[in-house]
Amino acid sequence: MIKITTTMAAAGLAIGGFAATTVWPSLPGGSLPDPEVSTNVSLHASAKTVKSFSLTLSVANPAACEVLVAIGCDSDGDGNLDETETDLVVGCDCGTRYMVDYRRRSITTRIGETVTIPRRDFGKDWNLAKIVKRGSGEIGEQIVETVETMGFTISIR
Amino acid sequence: MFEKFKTLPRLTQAALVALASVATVNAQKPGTNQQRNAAGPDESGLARRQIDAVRRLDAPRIVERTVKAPLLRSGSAPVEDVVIISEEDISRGARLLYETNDASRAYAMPPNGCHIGCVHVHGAHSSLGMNRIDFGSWTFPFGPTGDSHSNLWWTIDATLSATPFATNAVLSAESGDIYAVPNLSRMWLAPGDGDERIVTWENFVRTADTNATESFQIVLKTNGDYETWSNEYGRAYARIDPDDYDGDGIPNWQDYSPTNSAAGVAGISGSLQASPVVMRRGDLGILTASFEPPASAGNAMATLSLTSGGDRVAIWTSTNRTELAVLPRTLSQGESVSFFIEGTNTSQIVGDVSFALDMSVDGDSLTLSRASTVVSVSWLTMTCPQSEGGMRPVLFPGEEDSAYSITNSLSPDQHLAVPFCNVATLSSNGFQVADFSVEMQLVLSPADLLPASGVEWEVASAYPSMSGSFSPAGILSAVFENPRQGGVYRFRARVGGSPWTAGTVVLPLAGASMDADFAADISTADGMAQQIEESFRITELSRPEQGKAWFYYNGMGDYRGRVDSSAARTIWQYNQVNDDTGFGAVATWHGVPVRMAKLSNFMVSYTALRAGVDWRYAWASTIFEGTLDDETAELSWNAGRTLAQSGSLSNVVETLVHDMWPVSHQKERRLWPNLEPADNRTNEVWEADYNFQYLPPGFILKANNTEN
Repeated sequence: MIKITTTMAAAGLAIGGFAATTVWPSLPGGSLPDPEVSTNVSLHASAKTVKSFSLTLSVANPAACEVLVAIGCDSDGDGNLDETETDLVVGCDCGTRYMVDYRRRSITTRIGETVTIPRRDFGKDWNLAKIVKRGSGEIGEQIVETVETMGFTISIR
Repeated sequence: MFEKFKTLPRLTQAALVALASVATVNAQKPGTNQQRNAAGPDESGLARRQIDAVRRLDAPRIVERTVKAPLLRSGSAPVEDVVIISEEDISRGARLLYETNDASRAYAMPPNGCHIGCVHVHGAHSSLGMNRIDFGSWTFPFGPTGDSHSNLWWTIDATLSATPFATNAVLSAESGDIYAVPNLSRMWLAPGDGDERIVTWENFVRTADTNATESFQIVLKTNGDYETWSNEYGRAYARIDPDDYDGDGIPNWQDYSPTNSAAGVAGISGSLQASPVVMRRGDLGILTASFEPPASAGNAMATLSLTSGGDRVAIWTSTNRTELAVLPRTLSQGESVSFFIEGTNTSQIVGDVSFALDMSVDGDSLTLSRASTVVSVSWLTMTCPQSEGGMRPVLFPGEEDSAYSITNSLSPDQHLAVPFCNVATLSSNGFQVADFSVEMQLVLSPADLLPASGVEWEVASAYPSMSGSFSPAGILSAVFENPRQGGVYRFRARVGGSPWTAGTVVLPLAGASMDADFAADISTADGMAQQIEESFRITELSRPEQGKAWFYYNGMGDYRGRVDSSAARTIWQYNQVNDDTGFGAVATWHGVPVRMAKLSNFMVSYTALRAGVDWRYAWASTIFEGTLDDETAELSWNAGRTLAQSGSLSNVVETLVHDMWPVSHQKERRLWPNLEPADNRTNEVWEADYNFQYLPPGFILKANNTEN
């Protein structure tokens, strides 16, 4: 299961709070010998409103497969996140979790099931995420995006 | 200052650069530039090159580095091309050297290899993911600056780069769009020869047809050179020195503006290769040249010429040497030519034969130069501590198949001789020959430069048969070891197809064995002795005049001539015989070289005493009528007396030769025993040629009634 939780801040006085759940479409079935399938989904979060960005990647059977989420900006507007358009990848490769920041050319493997991206690292033009599954067999993934909005903020001057 | 330089007229710019090229220059290895390393990674590569261009005009550098083509493991023919490089070459910091094929190249992961990623488990088609190889402490200089990288980013499509998803500065095995299939494809990393790192895409597929797998490989070397392989097709790249793009060690227009020409297009391309060493009168060398100016070039031309050493070589258009090439030769655009170099006269100094390919495109010029040296064999030297001359080398003239004749006695042919007594000791068990060796060395002129085809050594002949061993000891040296048999051994060598150079080792054989002939003669003498004893009174037997008549006059008691065998001929120079008297030759007796006079002494002593002549009178006749005897003469005489009294011929002679050997003359001691039986005995007393035949004692002939 992939779960993306975004917390956004509301300006001024807001009353109440709400949570919205978006179920992303399942990955299409694989067709051998091409072992890789993918799908692109729009990101509802945006840099203007994001306070924190968390990504949870749950994989039921990690041993012989890889599932990754690539995030970036679909600059050519073709609805597909190309490799050159990708800024961040979070994945689980045969049980090894990792996060690759292509902007900084860094790889981190000391991550848990949930990865939190600070606001300052959230790409201001990010608008597309690509989920990639490699390998055969049922992995049992589920992709859920949950957007939560803060209750209210009181500003007194 | 750089900007001011660029404003100068192009001709002036070229002149200033040319002036800088006259001074000695320092070439700095990629990745080891002290300026760059001291300051850390330098991101402003282009700016630094511009600054360095100005610096070159101010300060000379010393050339220390030459470009060498890396050798592929097989099927490669390295060609040093000096090519003006492209922007792509600059961005990755390497230029293509050559291309080759190796149909037998294997891509299976070796035992010391490790998987890269998990594509072998789950496959992959895109290059998203943990696509970085960490080499640990191993580094690879890559890119337009001198930076070294301890990790590189890989893609599924067989590329490596310093940054992910790079579009330039990419090492690519030219795979195109491929992907990995689980349990079929794998990526692996392994160390290679010479501290290389090998990255392999093994059994990847290009379409849905998994039977048609392909493999790709990138071999990284610590100096920044690398190879890319796409199945059997390979390319070798050399690291570009950012301060010397064309690798000629000279700052010139091509270094200042490596991708530019006066026409503002990609630069001049050409190649010139000449065999660096050509043997005089040997195999032909190769001279090739090509010229490929830019497609949009205007006035482009190239000229191939022989700039020096025209008196040392002949340039042919083909290997059959029927038509000489005409140089200078103008090359058309896109033309390649091949000629063949024959060495006619030895070079005075290394590289005194030089070729040049002068190329120009719209006023910009580039000259490629190659030098050759015509080498010849000056000498073959032989040395052996146990030889006649000790450690003094014996010289044989180069490129001559020097012959050796056994019968050249007065003017012997050049040879190295090893006397038997220098290597042999005699014990109760017979002769023991110690190990010894003859070392041989080829001396080349003007220097020990070798052509690609190398040196051949061989045993030219071994007479009567080979003994010991012969083998090359180095490229220009060989050794003949531990022969145990006398004879004539000829060895020869040639370099790069040159004429043979031969030398001879002589272990001088003594005359043939007299064992059988002497035993037969003793039997004859025995019969004669009996007749004398029965025919003469005791007083007559002791008269010296009788002794003279029976055993002295007209060679009645002497073996004469050179004992020899057609199967193993003795060496005349070391086994001389008096042409008039037939005296002086050395034969082999019970395995020991013995002067024939000792056999004569033995025979006369034995026969006389067997006939009943008082030994004191017989001995006195030798004193008064013969020559003063030496110790061996006394030994041989006494041995004949011993046999006359008792004992067996074999035992008496065995004891005699062992006793004589330590006190023999040097002539006998230097000769090697010849165990072949004598086969040149004659009965023609008046017709005998003592050089080719030997005569038994006259009384033996008379006793056999065979005197002629």
